Amino acid sequence: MTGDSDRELDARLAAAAGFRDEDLPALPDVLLREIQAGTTTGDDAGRTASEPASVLAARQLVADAHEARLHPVRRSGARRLLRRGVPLLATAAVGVVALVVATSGRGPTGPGGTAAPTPTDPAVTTPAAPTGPPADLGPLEAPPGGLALATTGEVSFPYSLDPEPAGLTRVLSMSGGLTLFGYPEPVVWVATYQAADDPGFIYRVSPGDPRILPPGAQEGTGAQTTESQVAVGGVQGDLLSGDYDSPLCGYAPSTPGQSRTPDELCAESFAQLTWQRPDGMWVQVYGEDDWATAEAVVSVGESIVDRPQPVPLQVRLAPAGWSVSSYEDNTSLTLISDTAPSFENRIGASILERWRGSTEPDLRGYSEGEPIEQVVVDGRPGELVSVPDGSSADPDGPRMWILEAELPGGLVLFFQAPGVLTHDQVLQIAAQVTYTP
Amino acid sequence: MPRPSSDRPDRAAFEALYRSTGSAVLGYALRRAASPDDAHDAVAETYTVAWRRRADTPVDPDEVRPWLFGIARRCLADIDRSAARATRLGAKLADAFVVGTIPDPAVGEDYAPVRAAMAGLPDADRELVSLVAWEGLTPSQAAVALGLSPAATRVRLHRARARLKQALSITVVHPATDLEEADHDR
Repeated sequence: MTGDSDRELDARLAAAAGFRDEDLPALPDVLLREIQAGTTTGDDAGRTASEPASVLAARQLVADAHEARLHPVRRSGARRLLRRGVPLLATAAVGVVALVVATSGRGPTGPGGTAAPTPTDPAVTTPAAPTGPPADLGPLEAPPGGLALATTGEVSFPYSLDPEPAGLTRVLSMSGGLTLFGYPEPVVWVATYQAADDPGFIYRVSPGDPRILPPGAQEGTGAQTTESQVAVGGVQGDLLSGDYDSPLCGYAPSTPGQSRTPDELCAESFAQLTWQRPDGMWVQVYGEDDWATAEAVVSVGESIVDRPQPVPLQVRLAPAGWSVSSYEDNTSLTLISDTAPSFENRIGASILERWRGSTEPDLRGYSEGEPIEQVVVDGRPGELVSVPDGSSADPDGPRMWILEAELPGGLVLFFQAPGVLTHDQVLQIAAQVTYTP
Repeated sequence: MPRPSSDRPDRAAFEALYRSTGSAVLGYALRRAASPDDAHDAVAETYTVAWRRRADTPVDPDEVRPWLFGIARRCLADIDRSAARATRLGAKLADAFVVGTIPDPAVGEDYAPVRAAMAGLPDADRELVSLVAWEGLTPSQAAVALGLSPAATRVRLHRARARLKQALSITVVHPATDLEEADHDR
């Protein structure tokens, strides 16, 4: 039984709903098909309508890793973006990869004295690993109509902190470099430092001012903020600080091998310091809570040094002329052709997270009815399946490889590759994936 | 611990879930997102997460929608946090709809006073009220979506509705019935 006041409230609430669910269209089958094909989204997932399943699924895995962190490269509430019209590109886009080229003399001087990347020249690799190529690679020559394989250089993040802050988990990412929807997505390097009880800080380095919003975006309203200028590294930086309207919460940092779901980690305040380095690169430090002070973000900013550090996930073998083009959250990376970058031919490697339920190779959700082969990858068990590439409706069209294999420490590698690679080449490359957290 | 893979609902079950709940999840997202784009992203992400976590799909059909709303709520929060998100599947979802069939949550200010009053509630209370009023959940189902106990949910709902009445200057003719309302889900 309800009273008049409840009836009135119910009526007004119902009106405020704006529309009835019954009047909405059904969700389209295309979304269902792509989700079930493992070609899922996440915060990135690509922004082209024609990406093949191999690319999309790789993006998903990267997105999964990104989701685990749940502290994406955030802007303050005051800079929250509202999209209009054409979807814009996330500056921390996960799966949007950049063509990797060897460092050259082009562009302003960047990290480590090498050529700094530009939006069209996003160099990120360092020279080949000093330890030389791994042994027992197997044949590298190209099969008829196929691709030759070659060793790759060590993938590194071009910056470090000196000193490294104690007690915080470091997560390294790089993304950007392609032009989508007419907007050249800048290459962005992002390092996140957090602890289970400390939202920590993020610093990002990019060739463009990160405060300049991409086309199609506008600033929204959000937290109350204050702006000022402070000195950082001998130059003036713009400081924006404030309190969130409500706590921002996400997962605390995690490792792929942990079984327990990460706890929630919340922040109530922030400070964002942005400045341009003498070499033209832009740096932004974003601290929260204990790191949301001018002193803290300046301290972080002044500790950034141009000292490359290897990323945890490495692939030491790839098709000749391919390189690692993006990596995210320490646990995923993408390879792409240097000479013919495209969305159609990529290799994706990710470390699956045990706390999400990935405890052993299991491709039953991906096989699409195709036979799953039990394989051995670097001495450890795995599963491999060849499935139609989702980009083509032709059942005889392109195919892709999906592999899951055990890694040391009980982790599971998820690996995807275009069908142009042979069965054995897929196993060869997968065997050269290493994860060193 | 995750269940063995063999226990996962099959594709047909997920397809049935998708078809039976799609409009509800879309409506949920549209009513809470800053824009249709964000809502589309949230819907795509919600079902992506649901597919990945299909082993966790509630056995009780009455708990499926609350479970999905709980996922959608997190997805919307993520989208709001990360700002410039534009997912491919979200865009594809938007493209699949006939122009004009998706209402824009930013349009329609006739109900602004109610929305403003709801904005004055704590986040969890606002979500609770809207889950019941807009999504048609019972308080017990809303408790599932919010991860609260049914008893605590009923108390919070009662208090939140009382605050809304006050904010909207709705005359409380029968105060005693408010307490009865809190029990109607039992």
